[in-house]
Amino acid sequence: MSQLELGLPRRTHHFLRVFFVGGLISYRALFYWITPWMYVPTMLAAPLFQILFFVYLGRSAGVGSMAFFVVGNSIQICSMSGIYGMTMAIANERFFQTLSPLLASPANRVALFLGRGLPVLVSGVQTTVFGFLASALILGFRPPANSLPGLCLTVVVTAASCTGFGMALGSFGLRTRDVFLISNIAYFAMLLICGVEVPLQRLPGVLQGLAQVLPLTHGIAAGRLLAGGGPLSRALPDIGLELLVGAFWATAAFLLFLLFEHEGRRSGAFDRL
Amino acid sequence: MPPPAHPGGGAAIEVQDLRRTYRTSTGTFRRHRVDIEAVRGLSLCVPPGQLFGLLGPNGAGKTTTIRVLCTLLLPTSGTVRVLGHDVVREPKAVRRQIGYVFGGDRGLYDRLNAVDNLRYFADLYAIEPRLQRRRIEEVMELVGLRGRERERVEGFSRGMRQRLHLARGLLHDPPVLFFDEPTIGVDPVGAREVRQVVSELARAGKTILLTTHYMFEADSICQRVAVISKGKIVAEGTPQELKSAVAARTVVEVEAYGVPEQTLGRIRELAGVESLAVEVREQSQLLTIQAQEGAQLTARLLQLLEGVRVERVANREPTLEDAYVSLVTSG
Repeated sequence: MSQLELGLPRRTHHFLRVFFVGGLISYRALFYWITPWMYVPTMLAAPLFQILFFVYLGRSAGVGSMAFFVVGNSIQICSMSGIYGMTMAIANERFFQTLSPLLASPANRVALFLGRGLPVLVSGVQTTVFGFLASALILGFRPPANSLPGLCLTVVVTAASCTGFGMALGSFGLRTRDVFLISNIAYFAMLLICGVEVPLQRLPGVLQGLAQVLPLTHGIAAGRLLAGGGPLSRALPDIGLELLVGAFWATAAFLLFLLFEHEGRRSGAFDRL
Repeated sequence: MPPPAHPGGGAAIEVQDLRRTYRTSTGTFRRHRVDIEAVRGLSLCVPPGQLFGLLGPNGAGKTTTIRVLCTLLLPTSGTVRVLGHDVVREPKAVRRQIGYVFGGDRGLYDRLNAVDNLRYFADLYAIEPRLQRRRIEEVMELVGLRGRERERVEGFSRGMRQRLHLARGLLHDPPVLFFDEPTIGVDPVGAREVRQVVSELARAGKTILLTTHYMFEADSICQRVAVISKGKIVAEGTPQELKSAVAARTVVEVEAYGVPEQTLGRIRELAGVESLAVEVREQSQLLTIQAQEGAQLTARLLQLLEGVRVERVANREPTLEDAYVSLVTSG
C-alpha cells in the first residue's frame, strides 16, 4: 500500500507516532533547559527559592499562612515549563530555521502541535512535585494525607492548563521573532493576577475577571482547599474549571497556529530571524 | 526507473505567470509600506524525469519561486502545479510528493544527532517504523555520512550539514525534488559530491528543480536551464543553446587596480561593447567585457585606462558564465 492510500488504522498509528515520538524528539531538540546543568538550576533551584522567598516574606510581614504561599507558589512554578517550554517548542523552530522543512511536510498539524505539549506537561508536574516535596522537607509543610490524590489531580490538570496557555503564546512564534517578550510578560502577570501571592478578592475587579480565564487561578484555589483539609468533592468544580480553561487555550492555540501558518505562507515570514 | 506518472499527465512542475509580491515597512512611528515584486510573471514547465536548473543572481527570485513550489509561500497570482496538484488548493498532496533541500548550515536540529534528525522527519512523512531504520541507513550511505550517525549535528561541518539536508529531503523517496542552492558555502570537494548525488537522482528518474548562481554547476548537471533576472525568466534552453547565444562574441578580460566609475561608464559606451561585468577582488578589479565578434577592443581599452595600473589583458572564448552575465546585465 502506498503512502497515499493509508487506511484509517495506519493513519491513527502515524498520528500517534507524530504525537508521542515526534513530540518527545522535538522536546529534546528545542527545549533549551533540558541538560541537567540547565534543568536543575532553572526548573528546580530557582522555583525553590521563589517558594522560600514568598514564604519568608509572608512570615516577616505577618500576612498569609505558610500553606497559602507553599501551595500557591508550588502550583505556579509548573507554569514555567508550560509557558517557556511551549514557547521554545514553537519559537525555537524559527531560531534553528527548521520551520520551512517542518511546514513543508505533510504531517498532521494536530499531532505535530499538540504532541509537543506532553513532555512539557510532564516537566511541569515534575517541577511542582519537587516544590511540594522541598517545602515538606525544608519548611515542614504537611498537607493531610487524604488530600494527596486530589492534590496530584490538581497539579496534573493545572500543568496541562498552563501547557495549553503556553501553546497559545508559543503560536505567536510563527508570527513574531520576539515571542519571549510576550511569554515573560504573561509569566509575571500571572504571578500577580492568578491568586498566587495575593488573594483574588484583594485584586481590582478587572483583574479578578481576567483571572477566571487564565490558567492557575482555579487550580491554585482547588489546591488550597485540598491542602486545608477540604474534601475532593468541593474542589472538583475548580479542577473542572481549570481543565476547561486549559482546553479553551489549547483550542485557541491550535487555531492560532493554523492562522499564523497560513499568514506565514501569505507574508513569507517563516524563518525570518 | 521510468518517470512517475501523475493524474494530470504532462509536466511534473508547471508554473504559469507566477507573481509574488512581499510587503515590507519602514519607519518606527510613521510606518511606510513598500511592496517588493520578487517574481514578476514567471512561467516554466519541467517534464517528468528532467533536471532543470534555475540560474540567477542573488535576489533574482529563485528562492521565492522554489518556496512557492514547496507550498511555503502563497503566490500573489498565477498558477503553480506539482504532479498535477495545485500548491494553493492541494498543499498536502503536493507535500507528500516533494522533497525540499536548501543550502546553508541552518535548518537542522543542532542538539540532536543525525539519526534523530532523520527519525523525526521519517515520522512526519509517515514512513513505517519498521522501514525507518533501513531507509535512514540507505540515505546516510548515499550522502556519505555513514559512521557519523550518532554524532550531534552541532559538531558537523558545513558540508556534512548540507549532506544531512540532502538525506532528509530524500528520506521519503519523493518523485519531485527541489534543491535551493544546495552547494552554497560547501568546499569544492563537498560540492562535487553533492552534484554527483543530484546527478544520480536525475538518472534514477527523479524530477529535479535546482536553483544556483554557479554557472558551471548548471552547465555540468542540468539538462535544461532557465536564467532568471529581476523576477523574470530572460532565457531558457539547454546549456549548449545558451552558450551558443554568445558564441559569436569576443570576450576581453582586464585585471586592473582602481578603475574609476566614469572610466567604466566610458568602456560601456565603446562601439561594439555588449556588456561589462566588474568583479572586485582583494586589491584589483576584474573587468569582463563582451563585445561583438571582430571588435578590436584592446587598443581602445588601454587608451581609456591610461593612468590606471593594468595587470593583464586577455582575450578568451565565451563560456556559459558569459551568456549568463550578458543575460542578467541586459535584463
